[in-house]
Amino acid sequence: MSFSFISIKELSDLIESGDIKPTDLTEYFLERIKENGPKLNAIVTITEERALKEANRAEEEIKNGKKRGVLHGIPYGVKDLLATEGIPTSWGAAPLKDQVFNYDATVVSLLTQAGGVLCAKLAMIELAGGMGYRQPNASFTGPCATPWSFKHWSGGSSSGSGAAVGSGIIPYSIGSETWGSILSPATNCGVSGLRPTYGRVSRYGAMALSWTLDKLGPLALTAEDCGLVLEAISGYDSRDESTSNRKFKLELDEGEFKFAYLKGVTEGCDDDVVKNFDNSVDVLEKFSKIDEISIPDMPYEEITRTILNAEAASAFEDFTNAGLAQKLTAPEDRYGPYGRMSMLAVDYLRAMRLRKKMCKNAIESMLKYDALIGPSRSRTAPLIDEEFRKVAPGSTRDIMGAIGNGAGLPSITVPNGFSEDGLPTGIQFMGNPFLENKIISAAAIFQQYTDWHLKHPSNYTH
Amino acid sequence: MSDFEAETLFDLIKNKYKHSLSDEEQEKVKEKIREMIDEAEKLRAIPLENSDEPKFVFNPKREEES
Repeated sequence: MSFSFISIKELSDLIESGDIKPTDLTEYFLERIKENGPKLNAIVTITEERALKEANRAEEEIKNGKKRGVLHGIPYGVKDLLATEGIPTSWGAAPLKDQVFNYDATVVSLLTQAGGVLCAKLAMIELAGGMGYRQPNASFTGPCATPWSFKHWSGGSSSGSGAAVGSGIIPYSIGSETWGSILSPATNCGVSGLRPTYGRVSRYGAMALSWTLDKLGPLALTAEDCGLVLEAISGYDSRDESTSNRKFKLELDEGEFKFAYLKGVTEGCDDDVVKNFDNSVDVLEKFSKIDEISIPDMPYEEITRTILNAEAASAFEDFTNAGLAQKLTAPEDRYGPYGRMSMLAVDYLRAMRLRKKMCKNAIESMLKYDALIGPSRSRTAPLIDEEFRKVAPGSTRDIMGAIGNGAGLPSITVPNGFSEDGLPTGIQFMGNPFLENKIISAAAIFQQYTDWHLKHPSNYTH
Repeated sequence: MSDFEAETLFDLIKNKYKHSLSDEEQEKVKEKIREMIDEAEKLRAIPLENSDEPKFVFNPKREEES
């Protein structure tokens, strides 16, 4: 029997009913990881020893009637910027490929406490894209492919997190997003991905790219699965002072929703992205009211990018000064950090002062709505051997990304169709702070009306 | 002003890191600095009051509160 492309809930039910044992399930996914992970360049390290130990423990506990929850006995993978005790944590960077921490990141500890089975450290763009990469081949593990086409990129920087779930070699993964790094691979790989509110999930033990922009979140087959994982990984952590005391409990809402989209949100998007978004709006209108809105004009992208540039420059200052950037994979990453080192403190602080106004504008605009909707990405997956910034000269604007990340707002992406050449597109639901239940519920209902999330690349279905 | 600023900041970086960057890379770094200044100028164009605080809170805690 194939266990690929089965949701966490269903796998949990199979374990509960005794139809599958955690050890068998783990061995199944370890085999899939070994078979298909390297073909996609999705894997850094297979954590087989740890996985089998955790699977055995889960099995024993479940046999003795101790069920920890829905994630008990379920395999998962994590982006290789999360510390895992005694196992290399490379941050996707050649000079750090043998880096080992003697502790688990909080997210990993929480998933272990939930009975999860860690099967793999997943490929990522080197230093989470912090050096300014412009192409898919920016990782010492090579460019990661989307399971839908070896010629096209998985997206980044949580490349392996998207590809692993999208190819059915793992039921769920953890990625991170500073600006786009969960939504991009989730979209390109045709899976659901959740970027939680800033402060929902502890960043302790995760590589920092930008302290006030980094968020950790799940990629999975369904919106509901994303919510189940968020339950396990969210909560206050004294080792990360940005974390909130507000604990998240998944509660799906079936009521009527109110959505809005920003005027011009599809400008500059590929035709297929626009078509699929318009079709999605037709679906959403079956259970919601949708308005077109505008937001006060501000240089949102410049605000968020200035913050990112300054914090990334500082986060990697010692790395840069030690000359380690020269050993990175993408040529542009070797000189990328130097320009940022010239950022003036007053400019960073100005951006942080304007951030307050940005947050106010965003929250006031969204007050009446359950979510702001929009295409998750403006284009489908770029070719794996092409500079993606060159392919879109002048860069399509990403106001939702700038505001969403700058203001720390949660967003969930789910598949909403395919392009003419068979590449997935996505729709995102971006919500108010700490109202993940609203956006997860909206996305879950969308998935009740559609079946895009049930389509899987034929290379990986058995 | 922005050309002068870009050149000055680039000189700072070039002098600090000249052994790490080829001539071609230096040109790209200069380009990046220009881009950053262009972006900064958009932010500088928005007037702010003394009371407009940055969006972060420094919150000293006693040991037992940590």
